[in-house]
Amino acid sequence: MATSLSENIRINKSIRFTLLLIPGLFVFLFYSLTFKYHLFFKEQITLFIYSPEYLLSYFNKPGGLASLAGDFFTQFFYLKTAGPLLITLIFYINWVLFYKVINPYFSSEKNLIWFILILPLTESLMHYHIGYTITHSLSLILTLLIFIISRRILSSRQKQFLFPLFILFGYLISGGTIVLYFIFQVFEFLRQKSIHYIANILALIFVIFIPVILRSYFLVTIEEAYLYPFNKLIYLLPSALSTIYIILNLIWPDKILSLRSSVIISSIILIIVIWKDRPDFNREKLLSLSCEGYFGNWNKVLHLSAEYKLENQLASYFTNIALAKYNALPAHLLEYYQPFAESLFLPLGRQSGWLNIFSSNEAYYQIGDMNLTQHSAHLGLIFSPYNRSSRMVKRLAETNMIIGEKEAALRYLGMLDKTLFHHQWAQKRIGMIHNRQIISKELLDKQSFLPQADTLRKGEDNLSGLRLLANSNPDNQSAIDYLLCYHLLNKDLQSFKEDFEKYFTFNRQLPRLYGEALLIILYQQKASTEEISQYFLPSSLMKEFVEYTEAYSKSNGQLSNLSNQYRYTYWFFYHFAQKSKE
Amino acid sequence: MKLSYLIILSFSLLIGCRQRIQTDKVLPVYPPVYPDYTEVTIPKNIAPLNFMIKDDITAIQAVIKGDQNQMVLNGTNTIRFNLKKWKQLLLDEKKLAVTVSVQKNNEWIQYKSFNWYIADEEIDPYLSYRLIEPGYEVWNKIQLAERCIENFDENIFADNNLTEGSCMNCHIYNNQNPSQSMFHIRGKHGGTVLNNNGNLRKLKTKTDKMLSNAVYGGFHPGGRYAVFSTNYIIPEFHAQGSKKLEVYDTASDLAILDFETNQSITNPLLTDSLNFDTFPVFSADGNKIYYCGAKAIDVPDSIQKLKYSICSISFDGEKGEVGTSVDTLWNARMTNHSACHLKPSPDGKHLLFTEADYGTFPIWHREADLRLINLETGKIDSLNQVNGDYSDSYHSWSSNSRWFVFASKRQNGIYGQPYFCYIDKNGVAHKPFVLPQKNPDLYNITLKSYNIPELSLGPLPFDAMDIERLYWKQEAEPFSDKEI
Repeated sequence: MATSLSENIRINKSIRFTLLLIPGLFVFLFYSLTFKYHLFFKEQITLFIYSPEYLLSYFNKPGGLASLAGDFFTQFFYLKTAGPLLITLIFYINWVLFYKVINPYFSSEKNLIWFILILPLTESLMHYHIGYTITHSLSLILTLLIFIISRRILSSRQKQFLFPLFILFGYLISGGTIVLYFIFQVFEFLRQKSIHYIANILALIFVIFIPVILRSYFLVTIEEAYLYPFNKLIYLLPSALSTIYIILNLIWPDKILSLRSSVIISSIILIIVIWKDRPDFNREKLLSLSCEGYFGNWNKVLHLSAEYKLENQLASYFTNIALAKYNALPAHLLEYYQPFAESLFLPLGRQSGWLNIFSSNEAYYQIGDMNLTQHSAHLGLIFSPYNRSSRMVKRLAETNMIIGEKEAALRYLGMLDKTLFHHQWAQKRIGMIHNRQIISKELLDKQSFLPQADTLRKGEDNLSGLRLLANSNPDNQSAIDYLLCYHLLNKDLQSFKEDFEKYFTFNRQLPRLYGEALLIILYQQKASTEEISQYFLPSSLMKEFVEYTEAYSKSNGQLSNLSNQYRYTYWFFYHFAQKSKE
Repeated sequence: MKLSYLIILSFSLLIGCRQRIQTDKVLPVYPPVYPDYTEVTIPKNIAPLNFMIKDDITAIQAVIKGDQNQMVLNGTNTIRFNLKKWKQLLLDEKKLAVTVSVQKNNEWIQYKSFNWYIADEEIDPYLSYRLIEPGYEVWNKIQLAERCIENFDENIFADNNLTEGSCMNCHIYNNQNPSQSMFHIRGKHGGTVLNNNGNLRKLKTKTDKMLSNAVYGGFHPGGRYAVFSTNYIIPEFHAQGSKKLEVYDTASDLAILDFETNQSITNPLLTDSLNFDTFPVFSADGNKIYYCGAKAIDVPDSIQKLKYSICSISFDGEKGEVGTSVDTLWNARMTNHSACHLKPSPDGKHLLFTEADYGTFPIWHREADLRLINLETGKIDSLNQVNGDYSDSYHSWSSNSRWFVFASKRQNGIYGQPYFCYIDKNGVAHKPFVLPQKNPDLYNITLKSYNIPELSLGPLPFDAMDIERLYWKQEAEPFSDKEI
């Protein structure tokens, strides 16, 4: 009988343990399967350098320890499963800490751990925001820890005395979340009915004034002083929900009812918030294209792009780069959504989001425009959320290697050499700088594309840059295709024809796209048969053009009548593609 | 037993650290110290010249020997001085011999000793500079900082995080005196910030006759006036990666601002549309305005033919009037080069400027070098021992005219750092050295460039919070054109 009882207890324990694993498994799978590129990308927009000066710089803002440790852990997001694992681990830490904080209020409730599940779950879900990082998680964790430790080791009287000091200490290490510590501590005094008004008022003054006083040291705005490192209010949702539990407990005599109400209210709030600020699965797709391109998996970029069929400028931008990698830009250009030439070069301006700015160097790098690559990479670094980016530093190193600026390249490689996961990459390239025999083919190819002449152009004047590259190196097919497709996507057929005649060499097969465009302009210009014959246009294509024009005439300009047969032709794009009014 | 063993071991290590090591090999070359502090002349009041070896080494020892002192310092790859001992060393000695040994692959290698020459004349103890990412034409985070160069204290006195991310530039002093200085803040609530003994004014300098707000300029020594250029500035990109950016003017004039009457004084000689006039400064006595002038040409097509000469025109500080004739001090046609960033020495003996192949914005011109004109003899020193492989520009004198600081990109072509150079009593310039840092590795990991370094005699009487208040809460004072 006794054996059976202990066996039952053991089984119950196993079941309880297994049940506890389920939410963690959900968190792990959610991030492994649906947001893995988000997590990887978060590593790309940080840079953790093992140098005392660099590490000390984290303490130039409130919450220095949370930021330092946050970036330390974020570097592990470079590894495939490390991101989901870390978030899962943080989920469990938060679960335990929230339990410890709330347990004294509901000590009679055996299943409290399940009732508060929504709190760590909410915190975990915050990570689907690209701006929410491990730093934010650690800021919360450190604040909860400070509260729990102070509750455990200090007597009520000591607490009242040390309360303000804990706030100051907490602000320095965890930042704006220290307000939560103050709230918890006030609730704690209320629960224990041991309110010491002077201590509480003093603490309140500290909470209000410490951020303002330290503003001149941290050089932050008033808003940042109270929120840093949190730059969006929504990121404070887990903290806000936890206070609901305690407030309801304090004001509601029936503890069970207050607990259940807390769960319901928190769940409703969470659902509303998620509904309003849904996980951006489209951005995950965009980041997948960006990240696979970063690893040089351009074939996968094409595969993913074909699968997603996104009508998005950034998606088209990465797809076009991938097509150019395989010299297939004109062959497949119109199989993908093309918002005119802005899918070839991302326009940069005040309205451009930082993700576009961050990505803008990639096309310049592909065509071999190293000066604008460098400029865009600097912009990417400057406008990335934390002004630090391992990816941009790599790009700057590569670019300077290509243009022969050895000292500048070594400067960037030296930074990467002091990182955990980019050290080897840097070492390899430092070796290439010291021994040109081992320099990679990609870099050699790019070097051969460097313009021989110089000119001045505006940053947005992509045509001048493309023409210069085409003039400098007739083998730079990417630049020539980008130039010709740039005209085609802008429907500038006269410029297309001029540049085609200047730069296209017939030792490569005439892409059908170019043939289709040539037929339109030749037709418009009423070209003679002799003139048309200079372009080696296939007779089948000319026949198709005649058929298209007949079909177009019959369709009365109706898109639907032609889309089935001609939707991927330039004729169709020329007639029907329109820039949105926006 | 264990404890006593540990004590003995620790004690012997401590003794060992202070002893000179036995070298296995002696190399007849200077050590590859970073930053390059070999054979440099330094002022008595400079912060410790901490240095490191970037090579893969396991230990480093430096023996610093003067006539009266010897110091042995050890480290893993960095040598750091105790500030107090360093100060005493510089006070006691005229010359220090530095012998560096490194341990590599279990063998101690000793390099040829190099010297630090300690000049009698001190350098102004404060340095202001702008910390900015070296994006060619765009900024995000900008800070104006002030560093006490006698130690490692740095103070941020303006931060664009507090001013809506506005661009901030060109902090300049009147004769290196911190009681009068100014800089521009662009943006919606921006203006030219004028500091008079800590009393901050925000000025809206653009008048009807001016092309733009005040851009480059300098104070009149009397403090009432400042001369500025007013420019239409165009940034464009080179196609060749190593050249990066070209910044040129499509029009540029000069104007003198009177801070007492809030008036702008212009002169047809300095606002002629047939000429580009820029980078004006007053002479040390305030009786002249030096500036860079060039014939207006078609830009950017003829940019390589755009060469600025150094010109001067008289100025009457009593009446606030500009002269009627222009002199040419350095003729671009004779050298086929272009001058910019003019800085007369406070004693009025020299004029320091940057010479580039062409144009008016040399920070991305690799060939841009400093030149020193002796204003008494007209002789030009090409400063070969001072200039580096990359752009050297944006210089500023110490108030005693024996030191100057300049921004140099010599380390990597991208990130500028402040270098100090000594001019001895014979007018000879010595090898410059970079601003010392507590951790010399800082220059290798920072993503900021040190822009527009300016020396000053003391700390500024305002801080970043004052600038924030000024930006948000104070209306800019308008300027008007003075009727002539």
